Amino acid sequence: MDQVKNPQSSTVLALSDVTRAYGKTAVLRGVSMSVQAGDFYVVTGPPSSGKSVLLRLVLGLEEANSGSITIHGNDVSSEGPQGRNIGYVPQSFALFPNKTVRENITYPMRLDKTDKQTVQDTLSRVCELLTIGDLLDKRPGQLSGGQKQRVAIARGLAKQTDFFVLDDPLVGLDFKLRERLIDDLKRTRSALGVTFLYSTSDTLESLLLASRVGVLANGLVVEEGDLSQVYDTPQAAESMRSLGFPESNFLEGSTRSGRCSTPLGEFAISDGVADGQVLVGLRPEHILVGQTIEGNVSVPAKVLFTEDVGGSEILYLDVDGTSLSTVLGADHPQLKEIQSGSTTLSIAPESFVLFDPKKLTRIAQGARRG
Amino acid sequence: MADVRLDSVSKYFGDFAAVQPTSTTFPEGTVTVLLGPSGCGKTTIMRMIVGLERPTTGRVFFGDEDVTKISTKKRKIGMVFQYPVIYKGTSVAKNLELPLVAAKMPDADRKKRVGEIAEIIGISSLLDTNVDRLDNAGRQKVAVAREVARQPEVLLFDEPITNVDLTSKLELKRALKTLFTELQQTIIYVTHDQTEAMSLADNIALMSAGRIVQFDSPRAIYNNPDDVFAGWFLGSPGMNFLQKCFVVEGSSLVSPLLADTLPVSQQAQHAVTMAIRPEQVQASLTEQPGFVQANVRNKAITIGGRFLLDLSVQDITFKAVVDHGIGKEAASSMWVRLPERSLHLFDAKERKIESGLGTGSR
Repeated sequence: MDQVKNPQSSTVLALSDVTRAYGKTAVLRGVSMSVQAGDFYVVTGPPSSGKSVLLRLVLGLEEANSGSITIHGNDVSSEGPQGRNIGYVPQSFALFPNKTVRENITYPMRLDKTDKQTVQDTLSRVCELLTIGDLLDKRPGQLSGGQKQRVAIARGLAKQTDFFVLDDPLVGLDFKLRERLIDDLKRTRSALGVTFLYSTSDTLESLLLASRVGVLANGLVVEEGDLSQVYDTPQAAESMRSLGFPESNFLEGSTRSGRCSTPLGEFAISDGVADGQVLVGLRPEHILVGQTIEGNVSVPAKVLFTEDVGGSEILYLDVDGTSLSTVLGADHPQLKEIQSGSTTLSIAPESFVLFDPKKLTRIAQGARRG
Repeated sequence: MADVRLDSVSKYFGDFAAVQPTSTTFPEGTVTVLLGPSGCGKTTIMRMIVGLERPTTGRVFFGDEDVTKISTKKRKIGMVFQYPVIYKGTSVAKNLELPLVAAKMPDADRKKRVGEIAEIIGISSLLDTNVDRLDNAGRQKVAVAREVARQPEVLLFDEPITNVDLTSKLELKRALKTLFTELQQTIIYVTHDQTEAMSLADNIALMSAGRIVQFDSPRAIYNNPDDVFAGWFLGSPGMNFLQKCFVVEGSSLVSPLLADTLPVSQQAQHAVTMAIRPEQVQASLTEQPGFVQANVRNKAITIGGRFLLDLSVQDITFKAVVDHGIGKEAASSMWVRLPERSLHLFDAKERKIESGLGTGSR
């Protein structure tokens, strides 16, 4: 079905105060978010935070208990899946075993009674994008895991629409394959000029794919925005945790008279923070190793274990019973000495982000003064 | 303890060469990781070393002993699998002791050894705990400790940390690292996970399509891959492989990617691919001598907050991993330098060429 597009707005999808509960269990407690045309919008958050439910509501596979969902400005809250005209790549890629790759990909278009020429054009385009042109006459049984996944993605994308929902389509695939499909997905979205709503709980996948992110936690989108903005100035502890690899460090801290003390040391904080307990977030890359810098928090640490991830080295550290991780370039001049055991950490005060320990929202950050 | 030697060992299933004729040595007292994608033959090699698979050709040696025709039971090996093998309903200590009791080891020696191994792998405080109460990571530690305590000549690990959650994975990796460092046993370890391999191995035997394509220390393979596959497989993302973007004229290499002409060896004439790791591309927001201008086509954030950029010079596209500050500021174009010492050349067969790049030699 053709949607009437509101020419004033480039908002493809908007959710307003959407709730969904199963019996007494509230999964979504009032989700609001908006996806703009051309976004690669990634919904991230811990496993079972409600990402799949959110996607199912958008697709019309389930109905919300309250709130509204609009697509291109039209309220679709009471429309079934057919009325929403969304392309869908599900998590489990059930291909028809008895059909060829060609038949698998074109099947949904045939259901939509798409004309022959359009089917042919769409087929060639998605096959070229996902480099599966030479597989068209094969059956799923003859394909490798990665090929099957590419065919499933192609089938989801072979729909005459400008809005696609992808539910964690790379979960369980091996690393090199995911690396390639991440490139394919980004290239495909931009070549087709369409909008993607994508869910994953994998940090690196979110970071590599997203232009915009929505962070789901406790049944709410706790923050949404451009990836680099959310990365640099997270407004919620969950944003900081779920966007960043290795995962951010979180420490217990307490504030008093404009200063914050943590197991790593004390530092000044921005104004207007009441005395009390805080949760302190610290990105691994903001911990400098093997040097001391004037005005920074400095603390000795033990190196427990290092992980070599090729271009960088992840260090797992212990500071008097507090576990920390940090990351260094594999070309770091002192890597060998640092790995051997003890070192000194140096952290700029402004790297510490303070969150309310209950609401888990940002309240302040460290500041560089006496 | 002994080294493990494969002498022209192969394994065919019908016409299919799961393992092509392979001769290699897994050195005594070191950790060798068989690394490769699924279907590369690494598990088949492991199964032939264990004796679960008879080689189609060739012989397997433990030290000087030809074990090719010896049954698994009689090979002095210990094995740890994906799923922990434990004796349910008994304590951790019992699990560790049982094989030693069976081997009639004196009580005092047995207690001492169990204590030592438990200490190294970090389960001392759990010795009296019933194994049923442990999580998967804990059970796998018990399985590892029991095999280690038996002191076999060769210890084999088949993807031992595949089936645990991320936190346990890290905990197990750390326990294994400590253990491997302390033990100095002959260890052969199979995985498809490059981080695991890079972090645990003394040497990696990198496999592709039934062959060991490179056998060297993790850093040596990472920095100096013998072929395109090794450069691609290790690294996240792997190397950039650039074709039709350079010419070799006599002893000079010229490319739109390079501000200067580079001196190269005679062999460089055979080069069809030039390669560089994304993190070795140098980037600048302003024009600099030795740098060329590149268009920024795409930006993403990657490990440690660095930016992964898709760049292009003319119609040549490649990836670069750059510092957060530079990546964040990068707009539609920036300046890049591909340092000579970071460039690799490969021939039409995708094998490394001694290019003379970065050595100053011609």
